[in-house]
Formats: sequence, structure tokens, C-alpha cells
Amino acid sequence: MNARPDFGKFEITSIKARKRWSNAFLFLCAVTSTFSIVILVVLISTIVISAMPVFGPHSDRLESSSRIIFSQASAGSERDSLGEGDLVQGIFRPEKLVRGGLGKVNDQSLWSEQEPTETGVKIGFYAFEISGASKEIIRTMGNAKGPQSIESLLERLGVPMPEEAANAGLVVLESATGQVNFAEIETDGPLVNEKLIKQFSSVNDWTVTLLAGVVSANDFAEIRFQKSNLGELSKIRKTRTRKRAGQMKLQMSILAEAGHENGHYADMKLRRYTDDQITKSQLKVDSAELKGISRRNRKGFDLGGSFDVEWRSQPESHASTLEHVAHFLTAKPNSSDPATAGIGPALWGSVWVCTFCALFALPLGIGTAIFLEEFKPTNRFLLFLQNLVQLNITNLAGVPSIVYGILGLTAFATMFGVFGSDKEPIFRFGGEYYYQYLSEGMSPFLVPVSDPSTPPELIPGIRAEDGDHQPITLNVIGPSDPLPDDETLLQWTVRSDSEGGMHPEKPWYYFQVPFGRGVLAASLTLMLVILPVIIIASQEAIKAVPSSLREGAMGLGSTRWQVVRNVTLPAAIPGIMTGAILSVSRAIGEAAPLVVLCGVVYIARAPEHLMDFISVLPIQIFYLTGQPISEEGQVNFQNVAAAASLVLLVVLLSFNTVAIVLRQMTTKPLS
Amino acid sequence: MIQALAARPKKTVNDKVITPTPQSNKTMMTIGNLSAWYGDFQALHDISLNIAENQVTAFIGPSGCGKSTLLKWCNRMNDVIPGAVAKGTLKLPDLNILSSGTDVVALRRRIGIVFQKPNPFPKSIYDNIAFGPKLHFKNLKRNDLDELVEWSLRKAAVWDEVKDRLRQSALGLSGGQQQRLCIARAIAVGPQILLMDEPCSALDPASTARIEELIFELREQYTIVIVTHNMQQAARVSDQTAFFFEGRVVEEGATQKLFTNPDQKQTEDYVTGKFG
Repeated sequence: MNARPDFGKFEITSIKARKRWSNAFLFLCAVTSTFSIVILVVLISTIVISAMPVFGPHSDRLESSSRIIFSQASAGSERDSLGEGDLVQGIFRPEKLVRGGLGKVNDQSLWSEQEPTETGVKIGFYAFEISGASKEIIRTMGNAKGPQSIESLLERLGVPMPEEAANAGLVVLESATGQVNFAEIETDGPLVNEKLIKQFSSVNDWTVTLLAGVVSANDFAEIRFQKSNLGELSKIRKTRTRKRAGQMKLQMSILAEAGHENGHYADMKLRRYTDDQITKSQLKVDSAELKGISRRNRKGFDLGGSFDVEWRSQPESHASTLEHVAHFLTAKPNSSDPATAGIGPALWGSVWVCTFCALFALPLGIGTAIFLEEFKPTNRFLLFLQNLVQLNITNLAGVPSIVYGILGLTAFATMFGVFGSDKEPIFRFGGEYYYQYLSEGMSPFLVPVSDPSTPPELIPGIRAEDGDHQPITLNVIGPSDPLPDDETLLQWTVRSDSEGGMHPEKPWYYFQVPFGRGVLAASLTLMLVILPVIIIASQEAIKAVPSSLREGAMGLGSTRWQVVRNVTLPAAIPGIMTGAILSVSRAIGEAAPLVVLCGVVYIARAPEHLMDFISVLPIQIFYLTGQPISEEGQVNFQNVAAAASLVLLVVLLSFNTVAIVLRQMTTKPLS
Repeated sequence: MIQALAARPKKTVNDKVITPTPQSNKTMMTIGNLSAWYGDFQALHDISLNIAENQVTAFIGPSGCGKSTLLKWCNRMNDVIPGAVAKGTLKLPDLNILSSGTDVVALRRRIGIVFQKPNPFPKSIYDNIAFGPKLHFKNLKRNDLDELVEWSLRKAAVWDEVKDRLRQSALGLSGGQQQRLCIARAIAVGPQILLMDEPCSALDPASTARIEELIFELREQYTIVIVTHNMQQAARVSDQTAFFFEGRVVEEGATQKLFTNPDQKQTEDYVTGKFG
């Protein structure tokens, strides 16, 4: 056995063949990696290309020079322009879209009215048709929000709730019989509120905010646009329902920003519901010049002649790409016009959620990692606990994130229903609650309440505030009492059976238990998602610290915490930070748990407190891609989605870059 | 071995020949019937030893004989090792080291330790030395700290080499300098006893020689316990030597005697290089 083996009997493997295999394999790897790079390049360029229209030069408005034909030409002497007090009446039918227009001539008001026709009522200006008996709603997608108002309106009228009615604004209606069917306003803030106006400051000029009405065959509506002559941002003007000769007039209010040039545009959106079908139409007017005529005759209001409305788009791109980017990053996700849509609220939502997520996750994660790595317990129970935690964390890292969404919904948003529903929480702090009414003079006012679930009883002498929170004196009258003739008295006259809508005002420190589907619940859920990653990364970083350093510190008489504080953590912090940044960037891109938790809803403003509803970038992208493809305009919602993805990518890449740079800069030899 | 003993450095500090410290009989640390376990494995069997004050005591013996274990029990560094248990007596004149009531943080200030591998913290040289004092001393002023750092570095004979770069990373020093820095760091908190766990095993001969000189100087003020594999080193630097074998003390006594005229055959075999 000790004899040397006969090595000569072994055949030598062909070196050539071995090299051939090796080279083939390397070639395969090279092809694969090239392929992956190509895919990456294609992916990014696809996103960039489809995002281009949003950032590139484009008209912010719809197509230019749509000629709108006033369909009901009628006798009347022609004039070059409308004069003050002139009436315009009719239906605008630009091509196939039912669409309304805003004619703005100097500072004059323009309003229109419409007689009932055989097929139903045709309401001027907004130009929508109503078939015989069916009930329809026009409303704007305004900045207002308030499910209650629209819901209760529809309930009263027996109309099914359209899915998108959640953002209804003002609803004003009076039927032919003179009975007020509904009049209610529900907005995010007080109606007369600077906040509301500020949201529109990106639109230079007019913004029609609110319109919703239900009309039947015999109804008659009048819509009036007014431009404010106030030297500042004007507040919502008036909303008025007026009855005349058995007909209903609906007068709507607008927000206006003064100081603009005459004849500029309005920004509004109409939706029309017919048998649950939603027809969307939108209107953008840059400069509507009304040529033609309509005027008042002796009998009252009469038809004018035909007139054209010339729609002009804004000159191509006054704005530079940079301004487009800035607008895109800050504007609200205008759901009617992709060209002006932005991702401001979603970006803010992401910022809020990720900030709080990091605030919760980092201390917890790093603390857990320290406990697991640095404090090896001698106690058997503690050791068991530690092993259990370790096992859990290893497993939790692989749980699909949507599962955490369900967990977050149950544990944080509703808290198992133990503390009441998230709408009516057991504990809340900081909020002020009002009920909002419309007076007989069509002025909105607020009545503060302590318990938001019960509306106040309208009795004489009740404390009430107008939209600016200035105290007012209410004139409460009975349900069938005659209205006072005095205009000033009428303004704050209310019937004791009026119905109002709840209107909360929540400051930044508003807090409630359960947390509801807001920022806090979302942050905590995302914390759960990234916690295992942070813990494992931190553990690895701590493990990498040589134990000789720990012994050295211990030998000098450090306590265990002093060892961690002075030696382990400083040495491990680059690794920990790298892991933390990477996990936070994962949290930014995480959509699944938040789709479950927050839902895919239209959010038009940045969150204001921890319980506020939010949208985040991934959800916004999801929402945008689901929008219909528009037939006109240069920018589609899909382009906006791509642009939002690009923003998300840039944010993530910059986070990763920071992580890499941090690691490069802070990594130093440890021993 | 005789040559090694004869090669004991003739110490000169500031050109003054240092006379060896007179033999002191005062006992600094008493070890009585100490047994220690790592889980089921018994590492030490009934060790009884006295560590004399202001002397250098060397623990020698082959690998795995328990000398490092004993050293680490002296300032309870074994506390953090799961399953490490010790029974018996291990006492300073005024303190029972093994008692569960003993505060290890305070204990480790009195009994400093220097490890086999130089382990300076990834901080500046200054901060390395200031680390211990900052932990223990409350009313430490800037000046005090500066003085303490300089004193420690001088004491550890590394001041001249580092005085111009106190704010630079300690990791830039050579291995020997790093080890002297670690010694300086250990004495900066004012310990009575210095434990050294094979302090020269990772160093080149020149650095080893410097550390040995340093140990020789330090014994005037500190009681030093040194674990070493290097018998020449033990012979050169120590006053007392204990020979460990398989967790037991085979022989202990004055270094001179143990190396030249050991009582036990096993000791003789080991010190003459027949095994180990």
C-alpha cells in the first residue's frame, strides 16, 4: 500500500476541451449580462420617452380654435361683443364632446338660461342634455370633497351613487315646484377659505370650482359666472338658487383670481352621469371671445344670435422644461387634464410616509439588531426569546408585502375594531368639528359642535360662524315660515329643519385611536415591511466589527452599553446606514401594502396631520395608468404615469447613490 | 535557558541603571482551589497560586493548558462567554473577584488587560488613551486628560514616536507601537494589576524586545501577570513563574529556580524543550 500510485495510467483531461467549456460559459455570462444591461437601458428609455411629453414643450391647454357653434340661433341684432348684462343661451357642441364654455368678456358677467325642450331641459353654458325623466348630475371635479353631501342628495333623489361622486362639491337644486330639494356644500375646508383658493393658484385665472345639480324635465337652471373685482384673491362668490315663474335657476359660484388679463380662461370639468355611464367632458378656455350676440329684450331674456367661441390654446410652451418639471412636482393630480396634472400630493405623501416610517423603523431595527448581537443573555428564558426573535426576523423578511397591508389595516387602521371604527374613533384629540349649512340667502355658515356624530339643533341664538370663522347671528325660522324680504336678513336666515354636513377642521397635531387609513398607519405598516431588512443589515454590520475591539473596551471597564455606544456602533454605523437607506428606498417604492391600507383614491392635497389620507407615488402611478386614454391633447395620463415613475426612479437611484457614497466614505479599517 | 536568564535586560531609564525590585512577599492576588468550566469541559482544576505584588508573574505551558482562562478570570472577561463557570477563590486583598456582587466595571479599572493581538480602537491615538479615563473619571478636565494621555504614553514608552500625531488614527501605527499603545491605554485608568495575554506573540523580535523592556519598567508600579508561550520571554521578564499543564499548575516558584532547577520532571522536560 505504500507503493507510489502509478500516475502514468491516468489519462490527462484535454486542456483544450476544458478551456473551451470555460470560454463558452464566460461567453454565455457576457451575453446574459449584456442582455440585462440592454433591458435596463430599454426600460429606462421607455419611461423617459413616455414621460417626455409631460416635461417637454407642450400646450397646457386643449386644442386651439375649436369653434363652438351656438346651436340655437335666434333673432336678434348682431353685435360685435356681448355687453354687460347680455345673455347667452344655448348648447355648445364642439365636435362630439358635450362641452360647456365660459365666455368672459371684460369684466362682465355672462350667464345663460335655457328653456325646456321636447327632449328635456337643455341648460346653457354647460350644455348638457337631459333625457325625459332620467335624473342626471353635473358636477365638477373640484377641490371639494364630501361624500355625505352627494350621498344624501342622491339618496333623496333615488339616484344610484356614481362611483366617482365622492368628491362632489356644491350641490344646489330647486325643483319646479319650488321645494328645495337639496342645498349643501361640503368642502375640505370652510367654503370661504384661503386654502381653497391657494390650491388653485397654479391656474392663473378663473377656476370654476363647484357645480352639481339634479334637474328634471321641467326644471330650469341659470348659471352665472362672475369675475371678482376684488383686488385680491376673491373668495367664492355666491351660490344662489332662485325661483322664478315656476322655474328654477341655479347660480353657481366661482373662484377668481384678480389681476389677470381680461378674457382668459377657466378650468373646469364636467361629468355627466346617465344610467351609471359617466361621460366626461372638460373645458379649458384660454381666451374665450364671444362673438355674436345675445341680449335682453323687452320681455326679459331672449335669445341672441349665433355666436362663436374661439378657443385659443396658450402659445406653445412659455414654460421651460424646468418649469414643467417644477409644475409637475408640485401640482395636484388634476384628473381631468393630463397636461396640467402633477404629483405634488403624492410626492408629499411619500415624503411623509417615508419620514415617519424611517423614524419608527430605524430605532426599532437598530435596537433589535444590537439586542440580538451584543447582549447575549445568560438567562435561559432570555436566550430562548432571543432565538425566537431571530427566527421570526429571518422568516418575516420573506413575507409578501401585501400581507403586511392586511396586517396594517387590521392592527393599525382599525385596531381590530376595539376602539370603534376609524371614522368614529373612541379617542380623538385636536380636531374641531362643525356642521355646515347653507342659509336661505345661499350663504354657507358653520355651526361648531362637540360631538361630530350628532348634528346640532338649529335654534335661535345658536352660535354660528361664517366661512372665515367670524361669528354671525342666525335668524332661525320655522320650516314653513315666510322668508324675510330684507336681503341682509335673508343672508343669515336658516330654516330650523335645514340639513347640514359635517365639516371637520384638523390641525397638524390631530390624533385619533384607531389611527385610520392615514399617514401613521401607512408608516407603521411600511415599518413592518422594512424592519426585517434593517435588522438583518444592522446585524451583519455589527457582526463585522472585530470582537477584539469589544474585548478591548470591556477590558478597560466599559459597561455593555458603553461598549456598544463607544465601539461597536461607531464601527458598524456605515453598514447600518447603508442597510437603512436601502430599506427606506424600498419603502418609498412599496405599493402593495398601501393599496390595501389606503386604497387607490384621488387625493388632491398633501397630508396635513398624521391621520390624514394620503396617496404615495407608487399608488399615484397605479391610479394614473388606470385612467382612460384621452382622444385629444398631446399628453396622456399614461405619460404622466411614466413621468411619475421617472421621479420615483430618480428618488430611488439618488437614495442608493447616497448609500454607496456613504459606505465608500465612512468605511475604514477596523483593526 | 541559563543564557536566557543571563540575558535579562540591564535596565536603564534616563541612563540610570535600575536595580531589580527587592523581592516582596506581599500577596496581591490569591487564587485558591479555582476550577473553571466551559460548559461541560473543565478547563482549570483546583488551581492555587499567589500573585505577588509588584512582581511579574509568568504563566507558561503548552496550548490549551488553561493559562489564558485563568488570566481572563482574573478580571472576569469570561463573564460574556456563555457557559463559562468558575468555582473557588480568586481574591484581591480587599475584594472577592468571583463573587457575583463584584462590579466587573470597577474591577476592570483595577485590573487592566492587554491582549494577544494589538486592538487599538479605530480612533485617534489621543482618543484611544482617553477612552478609559473618560469612562471612569467624572471630573476630568481638558488639562487632566492631556496630562494623563502624555503620562500613559510616556510610561508605555511610545510617547516619542506618537507625540506629533496624537490626532491621527491609531491604526496607522506599527504592530509594536499599537501594542504599546494598548498598554498605555490599559494603564491610563490607573490599574493595580496588568494582565497580559501573550502580548508579544503577534510582534516581531525588535518590538518584542521593546515590550519586554517596558514590562520590566512597569513592574515597579504594577503587579503584572503575563501569559506567554515563549519560555525565553518568561525567563527574561518574570520574577515568578507558574507552569500549567492540562488545567493544573504543575509547578510554581521563582523564575530562576523553575528554569534552572525545577522540582518536577514534567517542568524540566517542558522548559528544556523536550515537549510542548
